[in-house]
Amino acid sequence: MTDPVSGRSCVVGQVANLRPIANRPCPKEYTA
Amino acid sequence: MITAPIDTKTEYLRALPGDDVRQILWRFADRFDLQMLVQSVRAVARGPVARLVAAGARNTHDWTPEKSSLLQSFDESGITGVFMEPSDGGFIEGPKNLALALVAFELAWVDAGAATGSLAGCLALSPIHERGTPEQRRYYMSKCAPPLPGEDRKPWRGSFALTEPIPYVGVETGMLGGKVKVAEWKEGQEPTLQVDKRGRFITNMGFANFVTAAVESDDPRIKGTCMVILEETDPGTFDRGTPTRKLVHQLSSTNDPVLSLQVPANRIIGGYTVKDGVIVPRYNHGEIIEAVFRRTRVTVAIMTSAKLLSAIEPVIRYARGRFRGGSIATPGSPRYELGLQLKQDVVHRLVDVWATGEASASLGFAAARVFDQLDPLEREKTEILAARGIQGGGSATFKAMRKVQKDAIEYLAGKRPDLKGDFLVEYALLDSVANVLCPACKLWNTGHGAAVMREAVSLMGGYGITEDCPGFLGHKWMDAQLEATYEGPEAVQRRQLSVTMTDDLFLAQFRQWIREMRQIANDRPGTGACALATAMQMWLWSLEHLLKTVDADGAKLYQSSRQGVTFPLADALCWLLASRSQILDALELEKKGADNPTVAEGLPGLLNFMTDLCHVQSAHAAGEVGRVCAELVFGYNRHPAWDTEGCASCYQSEDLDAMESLIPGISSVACGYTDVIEKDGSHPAKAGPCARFDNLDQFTRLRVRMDGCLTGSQLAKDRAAEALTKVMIPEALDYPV
Repeated sequence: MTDPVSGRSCVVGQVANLRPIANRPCPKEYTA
Repeated sequence: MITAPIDTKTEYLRALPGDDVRQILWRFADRFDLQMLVQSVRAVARGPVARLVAAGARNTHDWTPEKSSLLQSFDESGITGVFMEPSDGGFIEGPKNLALALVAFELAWVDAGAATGSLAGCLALSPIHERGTPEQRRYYMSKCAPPLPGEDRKPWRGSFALTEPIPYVGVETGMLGGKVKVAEWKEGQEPTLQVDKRGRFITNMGFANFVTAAVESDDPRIKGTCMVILEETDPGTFDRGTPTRKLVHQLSSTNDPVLSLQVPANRIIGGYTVKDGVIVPRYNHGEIIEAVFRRTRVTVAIMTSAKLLSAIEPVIRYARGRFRGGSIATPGSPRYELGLQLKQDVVHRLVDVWATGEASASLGFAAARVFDQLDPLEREKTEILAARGIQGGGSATFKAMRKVQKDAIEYLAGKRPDLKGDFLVEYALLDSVANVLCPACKLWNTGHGAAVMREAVSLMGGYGITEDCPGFLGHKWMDAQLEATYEGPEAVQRRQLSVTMTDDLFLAQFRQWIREMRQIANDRPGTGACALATAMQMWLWSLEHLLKTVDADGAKLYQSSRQGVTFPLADALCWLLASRSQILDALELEKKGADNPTVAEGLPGLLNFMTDLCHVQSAHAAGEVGRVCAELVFGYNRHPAWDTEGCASCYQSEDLDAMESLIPGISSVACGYTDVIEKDGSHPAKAGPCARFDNLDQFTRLRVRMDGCLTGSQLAKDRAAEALTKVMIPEALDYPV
């Protein structure tokens, strides 16, 4: 899953199929 | 409506608290994984779950294809995987108690049956997770892990069968509805076990692929009790039984199964050893259940909190719109804009509902966080003790931990600063708190929560008790009653509390909490922390008094069989703990709110409101504690009668007449001070001479002081009620979508 704000790929989302949080950047520690 | 004079510059609550506020209050503002989880679960709760409820899916006991479709939603949204380790197909590193509590909260916001269904799968796996062998963990976790995108696999579902001898419905861990015996045991081979288990009220049983069942030995070749894993394909009978005709939580599958199966002995959870030809399970069922329930009860508690908080918006909307559409209320008039909110009772009662919801959520999430802290410490403790050659839950462990407990008390008293950072001491401190918080939140959130949920339903008028009620409040009220029973009914929680709340280490920390509340009261007088601190002091005084006092017949007061003493004290403690958690959360919001731009915008009004809610709740808590303690402290003394003994401290009117010449006015003073017996033996019309308070001076002083501490609490309620008439709410509820 790509974080809508930062454009980074979010690890948590990839595994769990979770939805991104609108207007909230995915923190570094959760990105691939 | 009548309200206190309010400063025109007062900042009011602008909107209902959103995610950013909750993240700060419940301490997951720095947990992006949990924030995403909340979003994900919410989409399921307010989408498929809410649509099912609205479509009347709760009107049947059967496990229908529509209800079953929720399982896939749980898998896809990450709900199923929350419980699992990343290595087993999960996605959350480390302890998961807070994560599970948040899942329960989000689902129960709409329907607690859905929450129960999702959590029951975790409950089935919990015995394996907590005490299973590495092989058992690996096998069943991988079977239950939701399929990854592109993977064609149907995940297994589990069911947890403790049971409850038919026909009663209630958890009784001492009486198991299951037996195990050796079916076949060939020399040098794994024994085969015959397991017979009848379950009642077993969640997920309508579709479970495996069951973790508690059984007791019916064979001299098996020692004691254990938990065993049964699979649907095992030889024998795997009869799911009939659906339980429960009145509530209909989105979860609940059946009364009949299981009679042959399984290999390696299905005993945690494994076993053979000693002198006897199979000795590594863990008895009680040890496993203790490890499981002390965590999962917190999530049940959170369900009722979610209901209370979910009721706020529908009730406000209903009240404001009550007179719209008629000819009397014209747009722009107070009657049109505020509707029933013009009536003080409506907003005051909603303040009570909200305050209870906040306090119970604060307590529940605090308990979840304590378990998140405790989990790694518990593993560390086990390893440290094992390194010292101490294993299992036997007397050696008990003895070692007694010593640690003593150290911890000395550390708290400042006598052993060298113990700072000591794992065992940290574990003991947290463990004693967890042992209280877990039953406390389960008991208070669900039991008192159910009563307050009824108030919420009442505030919706007749609409509240229909299926059409926005927010499904009628369903939620009924559901709350089951939450008060699931995983140990109220009496079980009270019983556990009556033991854990007298633990020296807990009480040592409780004394610190009283000092902490006084300091908060000094810095933030509007929180009601002072009333709470005095109530905490009164509770502690009463406990210590009752522990060493006897009743009028000389019988000991605080003892396990005397539940008339121990249970009310346990209830009273819950009020205190909930109010304390709420105040601490409000302070956290004050501390961190400004750092979040979304929260900072309306922070002053939000803080004013949250502080007032704390004050309202602390006053309720103080009032409840005062009532309970006064009943217990005075109630076991026999009331004096109009007999010689009872009248010993009374004045005789003849004596007073005689003294009048020496001390003019004594007669009238004496009447106000004590009882006076007339010459003919007549006396004031009442039960007997007024009771005296020998040795209870401290209590009566505390009681008077505490009543005084309630000063300002109703003003806080007026302010909070006023805020409810001004707060913005969305045009419509966001579920079902």
